[in-house]
Amino acid sequence: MKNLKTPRYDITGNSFFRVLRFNLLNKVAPTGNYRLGTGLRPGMTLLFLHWFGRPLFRLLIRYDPHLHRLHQKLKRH
Amino acid sequence: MREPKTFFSLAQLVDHGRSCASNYQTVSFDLFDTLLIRRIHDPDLVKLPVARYIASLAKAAGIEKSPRAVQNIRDRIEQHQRVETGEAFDDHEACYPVFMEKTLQDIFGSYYDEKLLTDVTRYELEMESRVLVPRQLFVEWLEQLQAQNKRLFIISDIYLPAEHLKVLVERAGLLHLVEDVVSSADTFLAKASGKAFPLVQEKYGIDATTWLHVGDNPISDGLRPTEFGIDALILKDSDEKFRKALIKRYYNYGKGRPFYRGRALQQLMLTLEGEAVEKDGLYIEGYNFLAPLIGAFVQRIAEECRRLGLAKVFFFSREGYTFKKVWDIITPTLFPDGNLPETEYLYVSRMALAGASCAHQGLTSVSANIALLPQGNKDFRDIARIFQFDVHALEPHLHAHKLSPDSILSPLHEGYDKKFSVRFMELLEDYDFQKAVKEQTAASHAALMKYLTELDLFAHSQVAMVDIGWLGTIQRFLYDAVKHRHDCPRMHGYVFGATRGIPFEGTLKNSLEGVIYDRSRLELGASCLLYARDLFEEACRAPHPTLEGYIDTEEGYELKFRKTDDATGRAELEQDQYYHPLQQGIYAGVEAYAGASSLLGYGLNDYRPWFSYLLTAKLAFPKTSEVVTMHHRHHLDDFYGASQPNKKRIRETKALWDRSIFSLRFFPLLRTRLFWKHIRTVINS
Repeated sequence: MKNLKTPRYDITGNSFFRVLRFNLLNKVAPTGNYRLGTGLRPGMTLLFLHWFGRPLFRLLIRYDPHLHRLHQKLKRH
Repeated sequence: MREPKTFFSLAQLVDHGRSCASNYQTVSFDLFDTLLIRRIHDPDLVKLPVARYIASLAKAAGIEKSPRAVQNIRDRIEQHQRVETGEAFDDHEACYPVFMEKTLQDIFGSYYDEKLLTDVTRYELEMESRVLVPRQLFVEWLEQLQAQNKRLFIISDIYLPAEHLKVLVERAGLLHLVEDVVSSADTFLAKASGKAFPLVQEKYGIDATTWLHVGDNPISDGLRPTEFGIDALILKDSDEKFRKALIKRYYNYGKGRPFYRGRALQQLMLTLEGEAVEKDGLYIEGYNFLAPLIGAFVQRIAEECRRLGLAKVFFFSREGYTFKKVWDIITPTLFPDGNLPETEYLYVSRMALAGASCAHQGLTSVSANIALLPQGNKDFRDIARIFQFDVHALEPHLHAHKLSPDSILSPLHEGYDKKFSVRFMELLEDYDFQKAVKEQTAASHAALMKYLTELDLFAHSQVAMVDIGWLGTIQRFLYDAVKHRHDCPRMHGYVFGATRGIPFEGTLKNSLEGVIYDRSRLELGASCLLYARDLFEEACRAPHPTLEGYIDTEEGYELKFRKTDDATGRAELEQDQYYHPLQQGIYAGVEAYAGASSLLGYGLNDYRPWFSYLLTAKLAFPKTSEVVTMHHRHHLDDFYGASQPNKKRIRETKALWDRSIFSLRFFPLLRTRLFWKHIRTVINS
């Protein structure tokens, strides 16, 4: 008995790590048309988020207003 | 002035709230992002399916407006109302019934009526409700507070009036727990300015010193109530931020990289809060693997029916049972304008239709080849079993061509000789033999015609036929049985996978399309469907026995089903029981699929890259545990005979899904080797 999703908000039995592995395989073997696939940067961002998102947001939420102001400042420049 | 207390996790907030609840007589809650969370990161995304719905209603009224144009009109009118409200009140609030009525009047002009507003409102609330999930810990706390006789309220700053909010709260199962629901849309006095709190205090006679407010906005739910002397708890939930960061990225990446569209769909389908309970492994595969595929298959068929203006869809038994159920679940959400064909479940099978297909055209070489295709079939007795011929009565015709019922006609079997095939072809050209065949199958054909007439097959000029696959034999036999009629409809066949082992002779009146996989398209990812066709058949099979034939009676016709009390029947029952959780997972999954797909506004072509991955990963490179879980216990097919072919004549590698656990687990290159062989076969075929 398992949950339909993992504690990392990933799909049970079809983790994002598996998705990335098959995208790598798709680069060297004809496993189907993935239409641009995951892409390196989006793929790595999502893998990082799935694995480290929970502790990261637990830490960052305390500085949310500061980060928001910083984000706005960066957007302006 | 007291400071609002901020909590960074829901559990901490609820623990604190419970510990200090005795100090308060009244507890009020913010609704969105507090009591209820949305599956999506951006609440405005809910407006897009509503805009598509309005655009489709406008199109039906002869008004061409794109969903984007509808959305722009809505935004403009809503914004205008907010500016107007801001001139008279501190808050710049809007009220849904007012601005939506103006939006619809702007779009529909003289076609506008009140029913239109009612229908659009109903759909908007339906979509909102689908993306809202109550937070489990809050639900438990609310129940506890209610048991302690506290006065409970929901106060929200939103454009939906309280009457509409109550619908959402009721669907979330919370309405019975609260005394009332208050919305800023009714009075234009909002929490943001703090004006809502004195209003609620006066209306319900609440003592502010014994009032606790809970919400997520530091100003509206924190600063404003404390200014009014109300204690406030603020939730800044890091877990929610984490979850929304993920769905936001999947959604946004999907705009540029189609691969993510299917992944975003499945991310939206994930169960949250109280929905997330532990399930059987088969249920999980049904929900996470099969449901998106079947949902997209049925969505595509509905889109095709709308495009072609088809009036009726026939779902072929027995796999069509699941497809029809899926249709009933997803189409009201995906196509709220109701512009959909009638549906009918058609009791058919290859065995039942085979005989009837010969009543007018006789036995054709293509039909005979289909019968001899399974390796277990070898002679005329197998053909007679499938087409329900009386072998004894046909024996003189066979003898006339130097054949006997036991002459081997399949090259895969011992004793086969080419001359038997030549003589058999001559037999098929024999007028007397074909006359005898037609006579033998006439009664079955007559019963079939009565059945099809009763189901209005001949009342439509074009119909859709839906089946799982693979050669399209059922549709071929059905068309052969009715094509002589002047009122024979044009049949658009849609199958889950079309293998086309025997070419389907597509004509203007009879066509077949493999929706997820079609051999006529080179799709390596989708071709992995061929690894485990039985899995899809068994997963979709109806819980009733197969149809054996149509019996002509004086009153009309009778459907003859296979008996269930023999070993085959018991094996099917056992298989049904084993796959029950898988089917439950599919039904629950497609319900989530409908909401998610409608929100995203995508269709099968958007999901194809993801499905390519899904089918490759799950079927060609499955984990051993996945094969063990999903492999069927029994798969039975009356079409297949019991004869064993000559092993020297069949060069067939044992399929991956039929391998032992040992070889699946300990032969690391097995999957790669078989996949390499598979893609060579697909490319060469």
